[in-house]
Amino acid sequence: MNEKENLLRVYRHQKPEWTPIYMESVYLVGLISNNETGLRGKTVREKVQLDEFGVEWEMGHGAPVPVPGNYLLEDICNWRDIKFPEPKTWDWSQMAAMELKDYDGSKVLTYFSEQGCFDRLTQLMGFENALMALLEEPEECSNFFSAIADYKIELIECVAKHYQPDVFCYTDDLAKVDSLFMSPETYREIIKPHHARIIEAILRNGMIAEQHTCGKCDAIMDDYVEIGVQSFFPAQASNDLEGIQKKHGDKLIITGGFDSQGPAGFPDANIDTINAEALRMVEQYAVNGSYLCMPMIGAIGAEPTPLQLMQMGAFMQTFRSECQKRGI
Amino acid sequence: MSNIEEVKALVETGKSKKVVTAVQEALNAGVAAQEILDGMIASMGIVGEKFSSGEIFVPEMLIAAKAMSKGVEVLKPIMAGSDSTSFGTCIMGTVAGDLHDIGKNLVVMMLESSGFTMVDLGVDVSAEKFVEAVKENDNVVLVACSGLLTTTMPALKEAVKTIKAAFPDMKVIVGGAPVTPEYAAEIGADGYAPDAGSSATKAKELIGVA
Repeated sequence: MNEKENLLRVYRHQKPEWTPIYMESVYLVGLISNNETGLRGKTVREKVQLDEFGVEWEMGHGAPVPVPGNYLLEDICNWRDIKFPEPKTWDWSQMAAMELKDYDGSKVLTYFSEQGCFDRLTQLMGFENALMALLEEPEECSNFFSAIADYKIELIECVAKHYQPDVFCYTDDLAKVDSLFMSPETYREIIKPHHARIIEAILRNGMIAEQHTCGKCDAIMDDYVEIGVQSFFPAQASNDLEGIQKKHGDKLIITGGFDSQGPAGFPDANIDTINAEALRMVEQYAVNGSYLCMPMIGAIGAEPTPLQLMQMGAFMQTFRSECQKRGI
Repeated sequence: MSNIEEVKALVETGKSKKVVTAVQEALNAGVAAQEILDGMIASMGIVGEKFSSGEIFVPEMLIAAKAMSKGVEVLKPIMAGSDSTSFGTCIMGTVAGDLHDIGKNLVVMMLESSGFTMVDLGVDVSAEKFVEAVKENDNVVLVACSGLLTTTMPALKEAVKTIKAAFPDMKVIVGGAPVTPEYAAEIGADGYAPDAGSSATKAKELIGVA
């Protein structure tokens, strides 16, 4: 059994031969092709690149961050002035050839599609204005999200055809470290209907639906499961992950579990701290099954430092050996 | 409902357009500008408490701060020259290496709404820039440093250390997702707030006006 066959058993809620670790079992694509964070975009000045919508991203501080204070949209009522990308016009064969050239089929292929409905609203009009718009102009926000869902569905269809991934990861950061940004009711009324269309398109195109939401979003986990989400990523430890496993363990897998806000997430975390975190994740999550472990060490898109490589090595060794000891 | 009660209710529920009229009506009815301002500050205190307890979320807090700001615009010409409108100046910024401004912006709004004069240095602010801002601005009573990333926590420590070396008596408050009260104490900060809602209470406590 290879890593892919083993992890697919987890997604099907069957017992795997070993508890998989994300870095070993997943082959990630999409970060280059969809240019949602400017990684493939035009450089407008030093370390600043444009994404597909024309939003400026700062590249000089680890993971790309939208340039603060420089927004394309002041009033949500003018969202129709924004030029949306047209995925069908992109050269998908070339992008897939480039991203899949080293893929040998032994790992699960995951297409990572950044910037969901709410993310995109915040990048176009700034965080505070976006959140206020949810309350002040709910109908226009909903219309905007519907247009974003149309764009995402077109992208999903292109991805399914040209990449044929096992998993499509749709990202939308709806939460901060201790709660949702907006009330669950606001999510349900304004965002969820469009979110549901996107998840339905992923499933209709034969892919596993993975939802990326950072922060504590367990208040809407029932909603995620209801619309068909099958994997919750990166499932940060501030959520009641054991409770989610207990309630939804036959429908949803937990991908993550690392306490990135705790001592193990500090840049200078020592090996004892990292090992303790690995043992906690086995004890609290891996034993319940339907679990894909993912340590969050280092930043996406940034080269790992020698210390981070050492932390990652220690984590994986401790996690694997504890799982073996427990027969999971 | 009295004029002042109406203003307070409109601020609390974030009715920006209506609050302008209500403040003007209160002034026309003879209510003192300072009393109206105090009423709005009290409303924002309630908003902050409701946010900290999870009763309301960020959008509700933001529209309340926006309403407060609209109300203050009406009062400003009347209160110009009055020295009783501010607790003093607070310098705020996100520390070096960190471009995240969401939490910082929320705290700026809440501190401004609670009576501080805010100087927002933006993001990626070096320790030296905090010190320069203290020197360049009048009546600075507090410096607030924010950081979202665990990787920029050393920069938070450096900022506190540098500010304290230059101004040993200056009160420094820190916050951000990875920051804990223990870490704040360890790096020599005077105070810590877990969220924007409670930042105003802590800030006033630090300068002795709570």
